[in-house]
Amino acid sequence: MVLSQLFRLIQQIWRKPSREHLFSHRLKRTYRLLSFFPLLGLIVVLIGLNHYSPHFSVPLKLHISSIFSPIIYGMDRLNIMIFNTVPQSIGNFKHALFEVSQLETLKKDLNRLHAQLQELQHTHAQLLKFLKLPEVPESDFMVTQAFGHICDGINHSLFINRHNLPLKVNMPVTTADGILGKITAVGGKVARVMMLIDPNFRLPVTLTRTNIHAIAAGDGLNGMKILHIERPESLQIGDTLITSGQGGIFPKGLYVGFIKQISPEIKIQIAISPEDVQFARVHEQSVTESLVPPITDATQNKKTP
Amino acid sequence: MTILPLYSMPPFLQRALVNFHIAMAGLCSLIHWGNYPGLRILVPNAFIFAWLIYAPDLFRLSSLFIIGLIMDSLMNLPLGISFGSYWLLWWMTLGQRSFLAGQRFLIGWLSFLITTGIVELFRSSILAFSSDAVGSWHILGYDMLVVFILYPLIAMHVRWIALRLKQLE
Repeated sequence: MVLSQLFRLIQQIWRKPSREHLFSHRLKRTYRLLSFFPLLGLIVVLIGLNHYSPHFSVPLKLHISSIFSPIIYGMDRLNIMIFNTVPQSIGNFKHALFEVSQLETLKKDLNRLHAQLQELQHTHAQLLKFLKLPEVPESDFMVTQAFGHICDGINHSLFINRHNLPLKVNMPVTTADGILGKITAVGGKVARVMMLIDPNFRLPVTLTRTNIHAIAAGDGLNGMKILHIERPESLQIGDTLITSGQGGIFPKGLYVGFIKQISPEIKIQIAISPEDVQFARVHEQSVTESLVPPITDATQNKKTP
Repeated sequence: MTILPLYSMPPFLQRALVNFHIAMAGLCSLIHWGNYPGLRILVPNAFIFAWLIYAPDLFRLSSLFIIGLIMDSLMNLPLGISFGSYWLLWWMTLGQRSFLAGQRFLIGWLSFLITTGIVELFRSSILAFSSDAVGSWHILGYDMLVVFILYPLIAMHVRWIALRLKQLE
């Protein structure tokens, strides 16, 4: 209420004098200058609150985001419907109308590939049994809806629907194509994901061809770049990158992308398309590998006299 | 031509309509419509500028404060940055309103480009200071070009509503 009155007062100072000629020009200028300070103070307080008391500001921001996330979700679906679904449906309709003969061929191909897949799955199961290898365990992840790729000019984030999932900060988020990012904040209804294209995102990666380790970071646009690498001279365009498993967040072996450009900076073509993400997989946080070797009993015994 | 009965609305509803208009523009600007290759279209700036030019009496600074808070929360920015930039835009626009009153539309259009350019430069500079990374300046230029092209449509739309709201006066 006080804030509202303050804003109204400042507005009066800005508007009324010019219309009603109540004040001299000098007084008007003085009032206008003075009207800056309460607003400036308010902004400084808000920014200070954000920095010095994140336990208040972060839940507040997430709460407000939860309230407005249905609108963002609705607009995101509308965007997909207008620009993806409708053109795709028109394409399918044209396909069905004018390329009926091709449809028959495609259907035959599909049936053939389906039969081939079943045969390969059967052979795979037989081989596992013959070699006495364990069955490949089902991936341990939770699937949720992703919506609202938001960018403030530098940072890229995405909302995912929480709907009672046990989400936690720093959980890795992926899609079927590759890594999407990690969770940075969890609210009541939504969680915020820092995307891998965010310039503040860091990812320990390995090059599959040479097994060299590197640190990748988002480029802030639509890809990633290499920040640190062990032997940059051994890089080649097209080298595949996977997660190294170091850092304790992302599990080892997730596909990241491939090297697109080497100079002037090393750029990575990422596997995912940030605009097309509709569903995301949230994995349990990986703490399997650590850079620091664990202290064993033997080393402890050596130190003791 | 049928005139919408907007002028018969009570003043608080008229203000609510204007604020809703700006809030929706802000929320729309967060989505990358049609896989838009820029960072975000600066539509709220265009709406704020146009409303301040055509109907400043229907516009409250407190509503900008609330819209700024919502935008900051959704974009995960330090609270107050969006309000700061909107306030700067508000101040700059009101300051030149009397000059723009009798001018051609082209002058207003160019004035919008300069004003929003300064505001976005201010906002990006603060963001760059508060983050490890620096924003891409050429994409900011691209976003400004897009909103510059869109501005006449937005201004026409706002003027159309503002004229109907002012039937009461």
